[in-house]
Amino acid sequence: MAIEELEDVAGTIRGWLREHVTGDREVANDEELISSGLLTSLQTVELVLFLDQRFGIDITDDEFVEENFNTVDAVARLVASKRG
Amino acid sequence: MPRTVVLRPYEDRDLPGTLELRPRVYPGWKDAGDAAWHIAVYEWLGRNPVEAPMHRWVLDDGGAIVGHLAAVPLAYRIGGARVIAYTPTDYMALPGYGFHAVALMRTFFQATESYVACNVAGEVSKIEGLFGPRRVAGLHQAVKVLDLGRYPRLPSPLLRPLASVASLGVRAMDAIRIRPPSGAIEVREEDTATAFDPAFDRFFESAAATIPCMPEKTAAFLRWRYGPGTPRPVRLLTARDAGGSLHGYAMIRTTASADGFILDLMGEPGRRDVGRALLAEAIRRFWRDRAFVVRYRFLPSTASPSTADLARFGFRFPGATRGVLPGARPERQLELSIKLADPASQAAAAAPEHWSYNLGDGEASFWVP
Repeated sequence: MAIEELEDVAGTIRGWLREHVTGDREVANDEELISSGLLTSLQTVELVLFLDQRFGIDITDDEFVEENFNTVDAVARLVASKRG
Repeated sequence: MPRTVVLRPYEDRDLPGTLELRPRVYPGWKDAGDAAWHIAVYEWLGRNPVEAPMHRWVLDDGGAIVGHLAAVPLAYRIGGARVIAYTPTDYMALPGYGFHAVALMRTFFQATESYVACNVAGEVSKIEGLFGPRRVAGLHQAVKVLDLGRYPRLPSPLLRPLASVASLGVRAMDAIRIRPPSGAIEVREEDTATAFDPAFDRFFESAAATIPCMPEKTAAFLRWRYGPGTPRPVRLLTARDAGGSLHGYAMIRTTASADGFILDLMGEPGRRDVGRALLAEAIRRFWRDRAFVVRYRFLPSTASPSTADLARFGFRFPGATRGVLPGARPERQLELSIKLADPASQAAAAAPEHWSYNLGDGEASFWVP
């Protein structure tokens, strides 16, 4: 996946976070989402469902780990790896 | 400062941490801080007669317990086969550990082959939903108001005397509509410490022969679930014929806040007269207990009373957006969900009409005050 496309994915995720988590505050690509306690359990579930619907990817149990969800960059890389 | 949260199996040393965690997660639950009661609940869960181990996990943040989940095994009879399925129990995590709370649930679904749960529709069911269970049905809810004057959340205290007078009318009507049956069935209260004999095994096998899906409510299960040591003691009503043969039973409980619960009501399949007789006696007991309301949550089956009988006895059926009691929130919707490893069992259990299920059959009722 090209860098531009990766940034597109990251932008989509940032948009979702702005709308559903931070209340219009912009989230940096390297801001910690999990270790900072930003995401509630329900928001975590909704993010996974959003990634599934928006990018057509199915996140497996093995991929549901903190490293893949702790920053926008990490989530975007996960999505990119799933889309090939 | 970066956190290192470890998800690991529960160990004995985690007891103080989990006892401290509960009131922090559930500040509005008055029993959350009752350490002795919670220790007793886990001792009781450990005596579960099903031959499968309970599992527990914690979230450990640098030695502080910030999350917990247990998996309780229960046996079911599904399409003639015995299935052991797990229910998530005592699920809690502090705010700020949302991802890890979901990870706890993921661990549950990785560690257990089959799952059955009856949850209040909401956050927990959404989290569980991420891991693939199928919703079978919402439990039906029947509510009968006995004495509105004793309802603790009456919108205006001025209404209380009026409501209490109205309850005299309800009681007079009940005296007529719930007269003891003139048939051959006698309903009486029996001691939960000694009553669950092999007749209850025969009753269960006979019911399971015609009802495709139900919890395995053998005598051993009932002794454990409702006998001495149960977290919330109940009263047992049995329906027997003149020869003493068992044709049905009901488990009822009146809480300290005067809520009457019918936790379980099983009549011989097809014998609506048995369901009616048990229902009538339960209402009489609730009047005697000075309960202000009777709540009954169940999936309809040939073993439950009919909707017509419930309506005849004055039960109402709250909808998703309104309650039966004035000023009350809508009754909380309980949903039965399944994820069974065996495809044939999964297919059989996905049909709500295949089930006999009562509130007391599920883990959620273990904690009801």
